[in-house]
Amino acid sequence: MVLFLIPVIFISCFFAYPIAAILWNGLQSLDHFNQLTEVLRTPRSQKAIWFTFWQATVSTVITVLVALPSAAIISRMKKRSRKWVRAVITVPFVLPTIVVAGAFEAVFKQLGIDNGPLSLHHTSWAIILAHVFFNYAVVARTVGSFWSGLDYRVEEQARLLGANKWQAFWQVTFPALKPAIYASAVITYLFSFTSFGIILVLGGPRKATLETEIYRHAITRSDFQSASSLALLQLIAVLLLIVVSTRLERGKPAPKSISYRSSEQFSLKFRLTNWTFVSMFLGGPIMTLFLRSFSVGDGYGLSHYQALAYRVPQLPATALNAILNSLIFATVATFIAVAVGILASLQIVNGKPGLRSLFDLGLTLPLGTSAVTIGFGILIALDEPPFDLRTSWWIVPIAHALIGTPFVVRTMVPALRHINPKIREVAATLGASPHQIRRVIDLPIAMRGALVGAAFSFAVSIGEFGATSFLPRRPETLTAPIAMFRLLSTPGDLLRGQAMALSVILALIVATTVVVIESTKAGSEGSF
Amino acid sequence: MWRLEQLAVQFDGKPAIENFSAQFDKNQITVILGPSGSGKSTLLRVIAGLQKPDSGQFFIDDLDATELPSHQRDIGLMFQDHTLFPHRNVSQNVEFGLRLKKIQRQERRRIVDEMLELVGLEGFNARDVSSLSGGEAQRVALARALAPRPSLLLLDEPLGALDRPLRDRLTHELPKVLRTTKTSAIHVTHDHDEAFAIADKLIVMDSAKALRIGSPMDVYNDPRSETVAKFLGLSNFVKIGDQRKVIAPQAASVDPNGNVPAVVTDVRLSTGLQETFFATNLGPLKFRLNESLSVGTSTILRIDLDQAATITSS
Repeated sequence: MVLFLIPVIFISCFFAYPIAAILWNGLQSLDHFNQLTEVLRTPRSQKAIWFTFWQATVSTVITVLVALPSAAIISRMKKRSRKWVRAVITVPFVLPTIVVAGAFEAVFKQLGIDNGPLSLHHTSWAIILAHVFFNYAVVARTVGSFWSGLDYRVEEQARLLGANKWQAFWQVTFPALKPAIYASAVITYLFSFTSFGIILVLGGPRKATLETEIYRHAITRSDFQSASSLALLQLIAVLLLIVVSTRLERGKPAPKSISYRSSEQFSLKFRLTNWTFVSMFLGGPIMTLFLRSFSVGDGYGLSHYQALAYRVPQLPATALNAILNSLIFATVATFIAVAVGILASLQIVNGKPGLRSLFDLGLTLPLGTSAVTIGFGILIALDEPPFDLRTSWWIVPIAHALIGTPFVVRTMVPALRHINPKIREVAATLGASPHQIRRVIDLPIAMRGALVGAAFSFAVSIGEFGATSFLPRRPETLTAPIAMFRLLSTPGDLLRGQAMALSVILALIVATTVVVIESTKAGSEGSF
Repeated sequence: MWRLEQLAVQFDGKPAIENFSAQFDKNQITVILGPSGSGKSTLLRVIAGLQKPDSGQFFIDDLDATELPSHQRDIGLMFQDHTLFPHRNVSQNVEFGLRLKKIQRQERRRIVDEMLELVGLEGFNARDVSSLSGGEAQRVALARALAPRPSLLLLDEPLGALDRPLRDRLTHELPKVLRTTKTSAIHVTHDHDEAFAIADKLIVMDSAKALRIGSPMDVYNDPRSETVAKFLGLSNFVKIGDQRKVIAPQAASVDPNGNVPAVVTDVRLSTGLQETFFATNLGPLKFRLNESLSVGTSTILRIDLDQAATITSS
């Protein structure tokens, strides 16, 4: 029974308390409140707020448009090839955002558009391109699997009634797809809205959003007041977005399990055009990153990789140390996330009704809160007693676990809910006490779901940048994404080469994790 | 011996079981027959301890067990479908109850093999449960329920999800297995053929109440009410004087000296038996005859109306 206090304590100390600290900082007195509105009135803040909404909207619209053709083709694929294609297009989504940013920097350099009249360096379009790249799989997968669950006979019916292919699509299929399109668009919007690493690197000092402004005020200028005000605004905006998204998703009907799929494939020309575009747009940046990590002078070599073992003045430790740190932090964070996630999931599924929704809310909120807000909250809340964790390396895995726990819960709760209640009843009649049922039925079954959540949380931790960038920078807390950002933001080809090499290593670690996710049964279908 | 006394269960104010009393004897198979929604599954859940009754008591050998938790009742349960533990193979499913009884590994293995042999699944030990057919899965579920030798086994439409031929075969095998293992059982079904094939004792249930309790023969020959008669597949209801009676489908023969003139209106096959439909002055009747008559034939039937059971209309 006492075990169920662990998630409560964890969320209270490392999420609720830091968020409360931000609120307190922003609202504790009229004086502070005036400061809050003051910072929002500066032209710089207003420009950042406007740009945040603008880039999120444009990124979302373009992502939906370019990903729909893939969703269509995926929906009619055979199960095996579908699984394969879904896994491949998901690679960009799981890449650490800082690696995505690095990859686009590499592309601009390779194409020679990092300066000059066509330069995309530090422009809105660089950011939008990266967001489309990153979120492509969200739309293609969510809409694709929803689409494959639609009963194709309805569209055939329309065709028999005299509609041509396009009319049948627009008038029958498209309206049916709307829930899935909305759902994936909302997620894309949220990711773009709270995007941080991509904007910091690709937008440079000129293109700022709420997230990067919080970072600038808090870290560069040590102005916690202004940062709190912006974080408060960010919290409210994200909260509203989540409310809207749950409204939109409420009508989402689950596709039936038995579906009648069209046996007719899309035209070869359509498929070929789409996959060529996809492999260039999604594969290109990754390939370029890979190539540039090996390019030394005019030829190729391993010197960028070898350089990772040496200290450069820009980093408090070697990049190799940073990779090792990241692996250790990710492992520790995953263990914490799984432990807390399991205890919370059991409570969400089996607990008393009131407690249930409290746990549900408590573990969904961190998912909706931007990493920057979480990092900033921890920065201002946990730097003084009772929780002075700033001097301990534990603060990094704990922050990562906080971000990872909702993933574990999100994959475990459906697995637990999916258990036929009669199975528990049979177990009871076979002599299992309620406690034994939880241990030998619920846990093992849910663990299969938790594995996927654990892998996700590991991948998230490896690539985590937003929250970590607010945490103290010392040799023993340097993570690979932070090291990469430092290398990327220093001019000079040599350090960039190292950054590329570091990216490739990060990408490989994450890719391995994703293979694990996709090869388990639970990860094979479903949306995000 | 298990006994229910004055049992009542309500769901949202609607009665699922009303004023139900019955006794279940050792080494007997009691079948509860009734349409879906009649409360029969709820009854099993109360006996298993999965549903708390609103009032009434449940006794095991005269000890009040109403409050005893499921896992201490020594009562097994088998559902219609999809209740195998998905994360365990066939052996691990079957031995589940044995492990909880802390039976040694070797003994467990022996019992698992014995049970699998009993249900006709020798060598299935290491099979993944997701690879089983519907019939195989139900056999494993039966083996799993029987393995810990529960003193009473509850079967909730265990054959309901199977297709007809398999169902007929298992309807035949199930009572054999139960009798071989000397298992007392309560079997719930809505199928009267299945009920008659299995039951030592029959309880007909409808709208939360027990309408008729007795041996299958007694109940069939004297259903007492029209509702019960209909569940048993009887349809020849006639009015003689001021009495309503039900005539069994095999209670007539063609006889020129008979008592009921009749015209054949239809001939149909029902589960391999020929049913002949007649228009008579008693109303439309349906019989299973030895001879074949063609539609339109006029004939005279001999029906022993005194033997027909008297029923109350309900």
